[in-house]
Parts: sequence; C-alpha cells; structure tokens
Amino acid sequence: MTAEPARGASGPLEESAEELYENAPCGYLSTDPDGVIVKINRTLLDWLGYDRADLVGRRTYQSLLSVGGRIYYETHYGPLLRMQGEVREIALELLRRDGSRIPALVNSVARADAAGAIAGIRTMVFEASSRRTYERELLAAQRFAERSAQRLSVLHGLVSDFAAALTPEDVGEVLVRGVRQAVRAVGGAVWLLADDDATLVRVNHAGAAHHPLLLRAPLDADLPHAAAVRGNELIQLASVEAARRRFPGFAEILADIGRDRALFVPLAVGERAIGVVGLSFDDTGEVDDDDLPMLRTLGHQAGQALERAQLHAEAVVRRRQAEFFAALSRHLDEAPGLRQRADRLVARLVPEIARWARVEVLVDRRLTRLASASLPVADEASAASAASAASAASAASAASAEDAPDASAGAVPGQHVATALATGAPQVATTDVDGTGPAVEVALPLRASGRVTGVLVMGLDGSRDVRGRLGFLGELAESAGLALENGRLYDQERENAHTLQRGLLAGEPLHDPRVAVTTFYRAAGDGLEVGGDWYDAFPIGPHKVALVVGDVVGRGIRAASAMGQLRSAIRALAATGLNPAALLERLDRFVDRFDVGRVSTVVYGELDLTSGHLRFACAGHLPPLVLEPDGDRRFLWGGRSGALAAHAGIRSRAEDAVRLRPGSRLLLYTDGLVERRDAGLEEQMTRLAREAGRRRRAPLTAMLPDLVDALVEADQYDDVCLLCVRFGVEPRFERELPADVAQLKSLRDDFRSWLSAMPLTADERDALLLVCSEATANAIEHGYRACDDGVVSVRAEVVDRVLELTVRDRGSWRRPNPETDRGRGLELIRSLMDRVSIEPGDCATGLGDGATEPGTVVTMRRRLTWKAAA
Amino acid sequence: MTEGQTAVLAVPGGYVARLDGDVDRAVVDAVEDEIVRRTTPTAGLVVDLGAVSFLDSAGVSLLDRLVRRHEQGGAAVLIVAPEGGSPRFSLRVCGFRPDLLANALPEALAAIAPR
Repeated sequence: MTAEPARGASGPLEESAEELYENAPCGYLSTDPDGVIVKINRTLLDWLGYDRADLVGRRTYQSLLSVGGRIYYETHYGPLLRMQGEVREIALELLRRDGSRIPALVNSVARADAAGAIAGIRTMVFEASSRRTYERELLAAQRFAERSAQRLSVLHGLVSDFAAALTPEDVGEVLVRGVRQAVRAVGGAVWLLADDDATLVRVNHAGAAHHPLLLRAPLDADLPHAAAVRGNELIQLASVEAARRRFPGFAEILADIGRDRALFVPLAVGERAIGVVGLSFDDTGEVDDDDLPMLRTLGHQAGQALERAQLHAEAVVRRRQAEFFAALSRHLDEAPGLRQRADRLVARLVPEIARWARVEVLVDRRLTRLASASLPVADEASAASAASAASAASAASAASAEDAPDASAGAVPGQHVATALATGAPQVATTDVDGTGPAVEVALPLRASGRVTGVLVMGLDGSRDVRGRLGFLGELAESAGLALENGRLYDQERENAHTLQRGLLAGEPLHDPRVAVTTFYRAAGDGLEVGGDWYDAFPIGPHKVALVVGDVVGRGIRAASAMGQLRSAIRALAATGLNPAALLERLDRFVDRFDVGRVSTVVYGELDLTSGHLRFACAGHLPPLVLEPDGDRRFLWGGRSGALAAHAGIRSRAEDAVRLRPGSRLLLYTDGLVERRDAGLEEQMTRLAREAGRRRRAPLTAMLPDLVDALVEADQYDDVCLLCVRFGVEPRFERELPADVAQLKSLRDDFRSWLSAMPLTADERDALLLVCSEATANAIEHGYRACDDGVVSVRAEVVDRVLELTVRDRGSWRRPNPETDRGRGLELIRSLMDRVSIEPGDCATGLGDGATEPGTVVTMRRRLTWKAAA
Repeated sequence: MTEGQTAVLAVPGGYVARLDGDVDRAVVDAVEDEIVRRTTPTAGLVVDLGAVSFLDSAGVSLLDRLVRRHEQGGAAVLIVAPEGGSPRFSLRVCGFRPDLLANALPEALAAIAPR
C-alpha cells in the first residue's frame, strides 16, 4: 500500500491482480465490521474525488452515502448483510467530495472469522448514472404514454359527443363538461360568434364568473376570449399577474372568483375561429404544455361540430321560418282588407312569437292603431303589479297598459316607435311593464313601395337574445308590410268602386203619400268587388212611378259602369211613354249597339198611383213578390222573356198587369236574395215568400235588412239588391216590430205616411206621432224588460172621425206606476188623447184553442178635427 | 240621413250644437255624450233643432239636462225650435219654459253673445 504498483512491466494481458484491483471498471471497498474503510481502489477514489488518505481509517462507508442511502443502510442494507452475509444490486447514491451524487448499484459480501462473526465487508460499486437516466426516461415515457392515452380517450369521447350534438348549444355543453373534466378546470365557458360576426355571446358555462363582459362582448374587446377568436390562437394566462399584464379587466374577474390561471382555446374551422372555450383553474388543475396540442385539436373538432350544428340549426330554423311565413301569408290572404289583415296578424303573433303585438299605421301622418293583442296577465298578483306600475306612470301609459305596455318606464314612451318610423330601422326597448318578467319591445318598420307606412310592435321575452333574431323579425315585418299594403290597396279599390256604385244608386226620394219606397243593398260577404245589381224608382208624370231592379253580369268597375248606362237608358226610354215590353225591346237595341250589359236581367214595372195598376215586364229576372195586407202573397210569373240582348233569348218582349190593393207591398229583388249553396232556388223562393209574409207588418224601412238577415248567409258570394214599394194607404194601420228602440223611427215614418193621407192639422199630426212613439217606446222598454226578442204590435184605425191607436206587448203585465218613465210617458199621452185605457192583454193567441197571452194593451182614442179642405 | 247627428261649433259666448234627423231615445245618449264632451257648462249653449224632424220625451229630457247643466254653470241656454215644427210641439206639450225657446238661430246666438 505504500507504493503504486508498477504498470506495463508485463504485457497488457498479464496485468497484475493489484493492477486489476486498483483500476477495475468498478469500485472496490473493504471495511471493518463497523464500516470503517480499510481498503479502497483508485477507480472509486477517482469517482468520489477523494485521496486515499482522506478515507482509509478515517471515514465509514455509510458516511459516503446520501441521507436516504444511510437510512436504507441502517434499516435494510446492514441487517440483510448480517443475516444473509451478502446483499446484491442495491441502488444507492454516493456522495462525492463536492457534495454531488453518483447513482450506483452496490453488492456487498461479509467476511466471517473462524468464530463466525463478521470480520470485514467487501463492497463492489457500479456507477449507474446512465442507467438511472434511462430508467427515468423510461418512466417518463410511460407516464407520457399514459397521459396521451387518457387525452386520446377524452378526445375520442368528446368527438363522439360532438357528433351527437344537434345544436350549437349542445356542442357548447359537451365542451364545457368534457374539457373541464379532462383538465380539471374549475370553470368553463363557451362563447360563439353571433350572426353579426362582431359579437361574442356566451352560450354555455359551468362554474364560470357572472360578469356582463363575459355574457356578451364585442369581438374587438380587450378580453382574452375575444383575442383568442380574433387571432385564432390559444391564449394561456399562467397567473393572475400574467393576466393583469395582458388583460387587466379580465384579471380582476379572474381574481374575484379565486382562480389562478385561465386558458382560452379557439374553436376553429380551418383558419378561422368561430368561437372559443375558456377554462379557469385553481391550484388543483392540471394542464401543462403537453396538453396544449390536445386542446388545440379539440378546438378544431369542436369548431367543425359547431359549424355542422349551426348549419343544421340554421336549416331547421330556416325551414320553420319558411313554414311560418307560408302559413302567415296564407292566413293573411284569406282576409282581403287592411284592418282584417292587421287583426289576423296580431292574433297570429301572440302568443306564438310575441307576448303582445300591435299594428300601427300612418294615416295623415299620424299613427293610428289598427289592431293589438296581448297575452292575458298571468295571475292577480302580476295584474296588480302591472296596474300599480301603470297608475304610477302617467295617464298616457296607464291607458296603454290596458292592452299593451308602450315602453319601459324610464324611456320616453313610444320613442323607439318614433325612431323606427323615422329611420326605417328596427328599434329595441326594454320593458317589464306587464309584470310578467323582463321583456323587450321591438318596433319594426312596415314598408310599402319603399316608404315606411307604419310599425309592427312586438313584446318579446327579455331573456332571449333579441338582436340575434332581428333578421327573422325583419323578414316578418317585410312580409307583413306587403300583406297589409295589399290589404290597403284592396280597401281603396273597393271603396272607389263602392263610391261609384253608391253614386249610381242614389236617386231622389219620391214625395207622394200614395206610395212609399224603400231599398236595400248588401255587398257580397267577401266584399271583394262591387256587383252590377241596381234598383231605381222614379216618377213618370204625376200619377205613375217606374220601378226597376236589374242585375248586370260581372263584377267590379266595368259592371258598375254598365249598370250606370242601363239605368240611364231605362230612365230615358221610360220618359217617352213606352209600355214595359216596348221599353225592353228598345233596351235590347241599346245593348246591341253599345255592347254594354249584354245578358243582364231586369224587371221593369209602372205603378199607377190612382188605381194600383201595375204593368210590368221581366227580362230573365226573378218574379216580383206581392204581399197583401191580409197576408196573401204571390209571385208575379207573368210578362216574362229572356235576358237583355241574349243571343239565345226570346227577343219578343211580353208584359203583364196586376192590380195592387192599398197597403200591399211589392218586392223586387236580385238573385243574391234566393241563391244559396245549400238550397235549391225553388225552396229558397218558398222561404222568401214565407219570411217576407211574416214581415208584411214590419215598419217598411226596417223590413228589408231584416229579411236579408233571415235569408242570406253572412258569407254570401253574391250581392243582394232589393226594392220594396208600399202602395196606397191601408185602411187600418198595422205594424209589428221587435222590441228595439232603433225601430221606432221606421215605425214613425210609416205612421207619418199613413197619417199623411188624412186631412189633419200639423198639431194633430205631431200629437199622434208623438203618442205612437211614446206608447210604443213604453211597450218596448217596460214590456220586455226581461227578454229582448219580444214583438210589439201597433194598430191604428179611424172610425167615425175617431182615431183609435192600440199598442200591445206580450211582456208581463205591470200596473202602471206614475213615478216611472212609463207613468210620465203616460201623462204625456193622456194630455194628447181624449181617452186612454191600459189593460192586461188577455187576448187570444190566435191559435183558436181559447188560450190567451199575457201582456199589456194600451188603447188610445182621439177625435179628429178633419180639416174641411179634404 | 243619419239620425241624431250632432255638430258642435264654437261661437262668441259659447257653443252651438246642431242636431239632425229624429232625436229619440235610440240616439239621445250618443247626442248627449257628444255635446257634453265638446262644451263646457260655464259657456253659453244654443241647441239648434232647426233640422230635427222629430223629438220624443227622451229628447226633451236631454234638453232639460243640458239646460240645468249650463244654468248651474252660470251660462245662458237657448233651444232653437221653429214654430210649427214637430220639435216645438213636443217641447210645448212637455211644458218646456218658453223663455228658453227661440224661433231662429240668429236671435239665439245674440242671446248668448257677450255684451
């Protein structure tokens, strides 16, 4: 041990054992039983950086071990050595002189003395740096493989979930749930680019902050999710500090909810981001650089899924919208006029689309409400809150709260409407006036031929994204505006035609007590175009009137104009003194020459007011109906020939004559009165005779509308035109009218006409009219208090210069009370009549079985002065 | 002719309400609403029945209410109902105060005009 063994004295293959020991490729070490080093080879000294003198006899083997190694030596290594005599391949770390470590594998063998006790320990040390590196690499590689597999499975799971997602919201939900789980994020949220491509809207979130900036933000905002979409880049904020440097506003939000880090992964389609998923972490999260490519990949997958879902959702929405628009326009087209269309529109919008809706149009530069509808307020509580909100506001808004709230309390009411009208752009105002939660009111301009003609106002659920729906709402307003404009044009055209027709139908009234004429015209139920029906009555000389009802084929302005020409031609021909058949023959020539009104039908009659003789001719027209005062009724089937100038018609004109009794009524009419889809002509004419007969005592002017109501369906497809003549003065005035004060005027007109045939003073006439009106009004108001379908009969007769007026109702008998109106009316009647009696109306029902009816009969008499001049 | 059609005009000293057609219980409510809506009780009122063809007791009651309204408001009221006309007859038999009646519009207008 004193000298270094000599080298190279012999050949390389003949190294000495000592040489081998000292320079072996491994370390050798011998210690005493306590571990004190007694011998150590050069190799090991070199590894450890010690001189031999530093260690031999001075240091123990254990002291060369790291702390962990020493503990291991105490607990396992030493005891094993003592028990088994050897340990093998123990991995330890030895400490170099400079404190650094050498990983090593060691084998130790105990050397026993003759007594079996440990005499010394021999240890062989293999340097294991490279091996440990490898092992560590191996482990890392294994862990990486495991993480990769986990990521891959997350990825696979998410991708299949994406495939199942139908809507962007579904994709968002998958993303938030799946990614949060995969990287153990605390919060997650998904934002998508809105339709305007300039706004990010949060569609889904879990455990994320509730900050307005996070719900919706412009794309150019200084926020990490916006930046991620703008640049289609992954943005990692590794700490609040890091966040503060780049996005100070967002850093505050992050800190507020106690998160350390955040990560934003763009959802990309190709090179373009259409959304972003944001993740926030506290210190338990695990995301490292290895995760980023996976997340990036996920972003691409999600982007594709989103695009697909959006396309799908868009297709679904488009289809629904198309269906809605088609149904809406069909629905609106069914109603021709502006107001009907507006009514239909709002009825369609509420509740399907809006909580309330109204249509306002500009009329003479002022907004006029055409129609409105709103959901009923849900319950009493909200009704009360709506009411108090309304009463707290101005009177104007209280009025509007009755049907639909106008605008939010803070804003100027209707400001958005005014703005929409002025700018032609949709306007949105928030409101919660109706007490059913937040709502927005959208004012959509309605257009026609480039002008704003009005506004469609809708109240929408405030919790939904309204601005995103403005495209749809705009289309809605577009088609509504068009339908309403067509409705307006229709109204205008119809009004023009009707004005023309009214002008043509208007004639000067006949002022002759021997005859009374009433007319009635009702346009077809669809009201689409005016028809060519007309009536006319005019005097021919002092004792004759001409009566005409005709029907020109076709509709609209042309028919109205042809009707006007025929009407004028008949008046001109009648003045020449032709009889009816000759007049029709001339009319045929007129039609032939000017080719207007061909195949029109017409009935023409001349009534002699002194005798009641009626000469008449029917050119293809329905027969007139005569109603006798005693109830007899008959159609006048004589005097018939073909329609005007019809090629196949009978050209030789026939005529006939009948004599009307005083008090008879003659009814001329067009086919609209008797043509029905559900009944034959013959059946309908029988009905006409019956219904008209029942009304022969109705006040004349009230008779025709009532008769049309009884015979004609409301949606009648043809116009109805009637002319009714009462000839002469019936000896006994008899009228029956429904218990409706609106019929009093018609009754007075008839009674005045009846009285006019008598030589009365003005005061007498006024007194009898007043008495008749008051007594009948009493019967209506008091006889039928409980029911309104009663009939009042009025009868008047002059016997020996005494006029007896009887008013009978069938209401319950009440003894007259002088304190009531009836009493006061009675006072008036008593002051004007000589005798008045009031009795229970135990009159025969007319059934001939001895039964009587209840009611009241008021009988009034007055002696007439009977002017000598008569 | 539309029954009970009402036109209200402002004149010096108050208003003229011109009625038309038959004024009976079927139309008095509408007529009264229109007049009350367009006039004030403290201004003079002329009700012109010159174009009215018939007036029943309900119409007379309406005129009575209008007279009370304006007289209580301290204003003059006049009813134009030409002699020989049917409304005049109704007013007479109902015992309407003759001092409230005028034969023609000009004298009624003069009566409510500020002096």
